[in-house]
This record gives sequence, C-alpha cells and structure tokens, in this order.
Amino acid sequence: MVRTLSLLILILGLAGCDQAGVPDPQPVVAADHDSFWLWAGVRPQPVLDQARSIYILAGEVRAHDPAQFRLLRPVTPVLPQGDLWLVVRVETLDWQPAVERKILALAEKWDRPDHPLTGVQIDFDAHTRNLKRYSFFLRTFREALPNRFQLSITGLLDWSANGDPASLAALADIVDEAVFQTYQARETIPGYERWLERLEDLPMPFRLGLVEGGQWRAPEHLDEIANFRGYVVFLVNSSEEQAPD
Amino acid sequence: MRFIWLFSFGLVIWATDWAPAAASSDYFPERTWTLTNRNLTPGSNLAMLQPGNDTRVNLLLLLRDDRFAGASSRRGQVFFEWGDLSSALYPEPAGRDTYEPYSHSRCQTNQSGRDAFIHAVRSAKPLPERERDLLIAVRQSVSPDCENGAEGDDEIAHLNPIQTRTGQDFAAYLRSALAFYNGDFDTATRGFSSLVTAKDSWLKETSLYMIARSELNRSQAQAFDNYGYFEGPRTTDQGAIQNAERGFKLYLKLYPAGSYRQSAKGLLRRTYWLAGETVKLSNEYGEVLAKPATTGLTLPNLIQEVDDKLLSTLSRNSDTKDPELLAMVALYRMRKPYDPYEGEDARPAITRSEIEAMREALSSRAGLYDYLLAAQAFYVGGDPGLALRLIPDDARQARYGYLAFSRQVLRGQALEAVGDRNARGFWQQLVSGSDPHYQRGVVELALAMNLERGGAVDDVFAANSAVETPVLREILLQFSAGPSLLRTQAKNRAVGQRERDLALYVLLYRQLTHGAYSAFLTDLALVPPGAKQDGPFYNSQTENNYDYQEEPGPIPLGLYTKFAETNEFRCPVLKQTAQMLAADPDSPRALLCLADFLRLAGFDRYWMDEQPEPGRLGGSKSPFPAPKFSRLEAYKQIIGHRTASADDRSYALYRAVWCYGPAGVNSCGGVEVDVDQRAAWFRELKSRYPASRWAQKLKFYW
Repeated sequence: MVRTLSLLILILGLAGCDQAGVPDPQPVVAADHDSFWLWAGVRPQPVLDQARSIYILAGEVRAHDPAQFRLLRPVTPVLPQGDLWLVVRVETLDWQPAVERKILALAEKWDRPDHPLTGVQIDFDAHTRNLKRYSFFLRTFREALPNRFQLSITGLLDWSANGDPASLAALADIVDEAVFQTYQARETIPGYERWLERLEDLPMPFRLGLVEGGQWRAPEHLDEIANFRGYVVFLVNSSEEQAPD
Repeated sequence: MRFIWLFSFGLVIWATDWAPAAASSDYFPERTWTLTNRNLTPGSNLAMLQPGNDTRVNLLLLLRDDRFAGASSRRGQVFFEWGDLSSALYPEPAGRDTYEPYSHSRCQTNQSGRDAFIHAVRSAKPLPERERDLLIAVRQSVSPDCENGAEGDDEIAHLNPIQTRTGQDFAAYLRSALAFYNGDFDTATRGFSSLVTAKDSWLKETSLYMIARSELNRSQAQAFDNYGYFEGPRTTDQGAIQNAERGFKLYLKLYPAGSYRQSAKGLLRRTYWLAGETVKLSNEYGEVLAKPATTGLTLPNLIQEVDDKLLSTLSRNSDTKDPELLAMVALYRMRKPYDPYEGEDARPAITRSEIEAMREALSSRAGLYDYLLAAQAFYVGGDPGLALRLIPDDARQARYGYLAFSRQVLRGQALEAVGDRNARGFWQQLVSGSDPHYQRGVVELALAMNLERGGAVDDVFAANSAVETPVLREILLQFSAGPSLLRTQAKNRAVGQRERDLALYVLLYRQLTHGAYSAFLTDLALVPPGAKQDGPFYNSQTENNYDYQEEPGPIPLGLYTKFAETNEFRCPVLKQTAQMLAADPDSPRALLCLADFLRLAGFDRYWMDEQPEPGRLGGSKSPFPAPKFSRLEAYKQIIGHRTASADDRSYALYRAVWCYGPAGVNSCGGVEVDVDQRAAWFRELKSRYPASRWAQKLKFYW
C-alpha cells in the first residue's frame, strides 16, 4: 500500500502532462539492449558477445509427452562474458520425476568452473488464475535446485493486472525474478500499455521481454519502479535465415 | 543384436537434436477461430493444407494422405498442434527415453560401441583368453565424454603386452576409437584406415564405417559457434566432408545390409547438410520419406529432420523434384513475407509462374498441382475466382484424403470470398464425408461462420444442426446470439447443462448491461438454487488460447442471485437493484448500485464485451445494440442530475474520479474525460460535500 501511495503521488505530479509529447512506438533493435533470449534455431548474433545476460533455451517438456525432457541445444554454450541462464520451455506441469533430474543434471553440466551458470528459467505460460498451482510447482522445483543457482520465470502481462495478490506474493518468495512477455509470437501485444500500469504493484524483481523488431514504447517512468531490472530481447532470424516452423 | 538397434537409436538424436520447433519466438499456441490462416499461427493447425499450418503438419498431411488420426486424437477438435497430430498417428512407445547424457555428441555411441566391441572380441578367433580379457577390461575402463580431450591414455597403455595379430588389430581399433571420442580425428582416421584389410570381419566393416564418421566429425570441427549454431557450409572442412561422403557411400555399397546401414544413411544426410548439398540432401529425403521404415526413424522424426536441416535452404531455391517437399515449400512461401525490421530483406511470396515451373515434378500426385495454383491465387494473388475455376466441386464424396479434402475446403473458402450464395450448401454437403477427427471440425467452423455472417445463428442451434463442436457453439452464444436464442438455449433440455448455463449467464449479463431490467428479472428465475458464484466467468475453452491445462469449471450463475458484497454505500442484492431500475431506469441510487455490482463482482473491462475480430467466428456485429451500460456514463448522469441526493451525488463524484485511479487509465468504459474534468469533480466533491464520507476518503485525483 505504501508503494501504491507513493506511486499515486508520483502520478499526481504528472497530471497535466501533454499526451502529444509521448513518442511513437519504435522497433526493438537488438543492439540497443544487453540481455537476450536465444531460442533453438535462432542464429546467434554478434550482439551476444557483449551481452550482460543470455537466456538460452536448453530444452522443453511438451504437453503431450510429459515424461520426456527434449534437449534442444546439443552443446554446452560457451559465453565470453555475462550471466548465463538455462531456459526450459514447459507446456505442462505434470512432470515425471526423471524430467526434473535431467534438467538438474544439465544445469550442473552448463555450470563450468570458468563460467558459472547463473540460474534456470522456467518458461511456462501460466494463466493468471492458475498462479497458485504454479507457485506450488515452483516451490518444489526451487527445493530441488541447488542454492547456487537462481530461479527465473517468464510471466504473462496480465498477472500484474489480474493476478491474485496472495498468489503473486507466494511466487515472489520463490523466484529471483520474473520476465514478462510483451509480445505474442512476433507481435507486440496490442494494448500492452494498459497491462503495464499495474507493474508497480508486482512484488518481485522483474524484467520486460521484448521481441526483436517488435514495436515498443516504454511507459513513462518505468525506470523509477524499484523492482524493474531492465529488458530481455527475444532474438529472431531475419526472413532470409529464418528457420521455418 | 542389441547394438544394432542402439546404433540406429543414436540416429534418432542426430535427427532431432536441432529442432527449432519454436521458430516463432515463444510459440504461443493461439487458436484463431478462422479458416483462413495465411501466416503461421502455432496452435491453429487445421487438417487441411494451408500456408499458416506448421510446415511439419503440411508435410505429414501430404505424406499420410489417407491415414486419419486414430482413436487417440480427440473427436470434435478443430485446431491442433504438431505434437497432437504426430503422436496420434505415431504413438511413442511408453517408457522410451530419448535423453542420454551424451545424446548431443558423437559420444552417444560410447555405450553401444563398447557393447558391440566386447561382443566382437568374444567372437574373434584366434584370440588368446588373456588378450581377450585385457581388451574387454580396457574397453570397459574408458568412458570418454567428448568434452574434455585426451582421456583414457593410461588405460590404453595396458594394451601394450598384446602380442597376437588379431589382438593387436583390436587394440588398434580401441586406440582409434578413443582418439575419435577424444577429438583427435587425424589419428582416428589413420588408425581405422589401417584396419579395413583386417582379417576379422567385424573390425573390417566397423572400421570402414568409422573412417567416414571420423572424417565427418573432422569436417565440422570449426563449423559450430560457441552456442552450437552451424555457421554454414563454408566453415566445413571441404577435404574431410568429401572423404566422409565417399566413405559412407562405399560402406553402403559394400555392406548394403550392414550393421551400420541406417546410421550411415543418416550420417550421409548430415554430410550433405554440412556440405550445403541441397540437391543431394533433398533427394535423400525424397527417398527416405517414401520409405521411413528403412531409416529406423518414425515419419514424424524424419519430418522434424527435414524442418531442421533442409527447409531453410530449400525454401530459397526449391532444388528438388520431390512433389511433397515442393508442395510443403510452396505453401510455406505463400505466407506473408516477414522481416523483423521491415526492411527490404523480406523475400516476396511465391508467384504463379514459380508454381507453374513445378508442374512436371508435381505430376505424380494427382490434384496437387491444381491445388497449389489455386492456393497461390487465393492466398497470394487475391484471386478466389481463379481458385474456383481450378478446383471443381466434389463435395459429395464419402471420405476424403487430406489433399482431396484441402481442395474442397479451399473451394469453399473461395466461394465465401466471392460471396457465392451456394457456399452454405457446399459446406453442408462436405460435412458428411469429412473424417470425425479434425476434418469435421474444419467444416463445422466454416459452416458456423457462414451461418453467423448470414444472420442465421439460430440454425447453428437447430435440432438438426451439423455444428456440434461445443467450443464453436459457445463462441456464438457469447458474441452472436440475441436474447430470444439465448433464452431458448437456456431452457433447452436437449443440450447439456453447460450450454444451458452459459446461454443463461450471457443472457442475464447482456440484459443487465443493456437496460432490459424487466426481462432480466423474469429470466433470473431460471437460475438454479445451488448455482455457484465464483466469478465472473472466464471461458477458458473459447478465450484462453494459450493455457494447456484448464478444465472447464462451472458457470457461476449464482453471481446474479447471491452476490452480496458492498461497501459503506450499502447496496441491496442485485435483484432489488434491478427491481428499482425496472420501475425507474434513471434512479440514481439504483444506477449507482448496478455500477457497484459490476465493479465489485469483477465486470470492469469484461472480456465478453470485446467482440472478436471481424474475420473470426463471433466477430459479426453484436445483436445487443449500443450503448452498453458504462459506470462512467452512469456517474456523469448522476453528477448532471442536480436534484440527486447529496449522498448519491457525492458517491458518484467519488466513483467517477476513481474510474481513473490509480494510474490515470479509465476502467469504467464510456466516453473518456480529460484530467481537467477529473480535477473539477475532485474539487466539487471537496467543496460542495466537505463533510461527506466520500470527500474525506478521496485524497487524490488521477
């Protein structure tokens, strides 16, 4: 509540700001950012060499095959610098025990003496009304994950607006950060601005996920939100080198 | 023979280790609720060829034209994902685990190779027992991981006492194999080469195969970047890759039934991929896609391989004569060209003449050439008339393969596009021959859209309607059904309880927000006494297009009868509010209480008020005419009502200001007001009703 009040004061100070002064959305250019998602089949771009953090898709658990962890990156990535996150794309939370063991084993493998692994990111599109169940799942996973690894999750924008505060608080206790996707497929979600209004209330450190080439206009004063930790850009191939689906 | 299976099993990994399944960034499996998907929309695959399908789905439909998804796929489903279709047609054996610690590297064969070696040593003659035991012991003691080089030298040194010719040959093999796993391919190739004339037949065959494998690995040593991404054929070692090609071909020629034939065949594909030999690669795929059993792989795994290894190059140059591969690429190239920076790079969509150039190659598949020409005309050329001329009406068949079905659906789409009045009858005919798994869902969607756009939504709910799929009916109830249809369905004992409850829920919500208070009170009596009130209702079946797990919950009709949350303003239950409004629709107190019901029960910015896009099912004009009740407009009305009581007016001012709290964005609907107006309301509340509880509670305006 204290945070909400200070925000209100902040916004009151702005009341009267001329709407015409707001810039148009601009395409997201990878070179303007320092943190990236690298998905399977996406060509690594030179920007990665200077990255502060890279979230690399390692594998996935498919909904129709929850017994399998499917490896999608056949090598242990070697980063010149920066934080390395091992991302697991998850379509179902009904994992078989072996799946978790394999993910933990892979995390150990990616964690090299010369370049430690920062943490594991779970990429699951948990719907807002299922956050409670998701937090149970994450608590179990967090307990299994060695302490030296952080835990990150991706999130949907409408958690901030429609998520039950108690469930969000439970998530915040478990994860080290959440990265919210402002896009679907390759398009920035229409009307994303109205979700962003509520970001101030999120009880956890968060980043915003952008898609390379998507349209983006930062909400005013985003940088003043204490929990905002910057952006992560989802890299895509240009049409000539696109790996078609 | 276990090792043979293991070798081919390793191939599965070669085949799938580079799956860019999620090339569409986060792979939102969105369902679009429309038949015409020109661009990839993961989750909106239909059981017909179309550019917007996953390329893997299109290829599988082309190759398994006559094979309908069996009992494991769900009836009454419209859209599906690649995995739904492939696992329905090719169920994975239970308990099969494709993840091995080194499944991504050449070390995947360490265990199977060890077993094969030990088996061969045991069968080898002449070999003294002492040497045999030593060879087996040394092989068992080495466990290379292909990440840290130079492992096992100490163990290999134990081989030195071996004296006999056969023993020395096996020792040489072991040294070469370890060099191979440790990444010393020069030593490995040399060592294996020395064994192709060995007396032992296993050594002879295996070494020939291993020469090619060693050269293949040598060729790619510099071809992958730090993230494991293939940097292109120019980074492949040309001498080594040519050796690998020659080696695998020689092996397959000398040992057409050899132990490693499936592996050699698979690695030959990898060789062509690393060498950038698209023509050879597509020829290989053309051959094995027709006979997947010879590869040891399932068809979906081969199709995945095509997607990973061939499609990106083939889509640029169409270097193949294989009709299915050509058709897959042609459909892919009918998508709207994409370039993330909207620059000049986007390659134009496929042209008619490019398809005409494929005519001969496509001739072995009857109907495919015409279909592709028609699809190009429809999706790219904007010429549905041409599509109609190319594809004759054939909607009365008893069953359809996927190609024949695709042709007819495309004809139906073209009929719709030109506004042909026979389109409805066409879909109605096509229903009976469509397979209940997936095909029928396509035709039901088409028919539902036709009826909706033709103002005949009632027919969807008629007793003999062909539109049976629940999710299609629910979309129409939510967005396209008028009051009398909703009331009919709410009472219709011939349909299930969910459909009845949903119809009533929608009816009551629309009546409440469109001023039909008397009708609301009449229909409120239909709410069953035990109805739940956890709400407001969110239809995960029609709206939640990205969550995999949601089970349909009960429809909370009890919201309308039991919801009693209120604040200091102390509103009565909804029924009394509606009674007051039925008597006086402008009653300030009743309007404020209706607004509070909607606010507290969670109906602000309710999803049911956002009509689907015009091109999608449910996207026609809402049968409930504007204006829809808006809290902001109600507050404005009361604020403008100078004779309203101080209690009502001060609350309306308070609530009107709060419409924009806490972030300056209106959550109450209606016509927006600027911040000056909100400031004026704030000041009026403070100055005119300073003692009111609402003036005291309001600290800011937004």
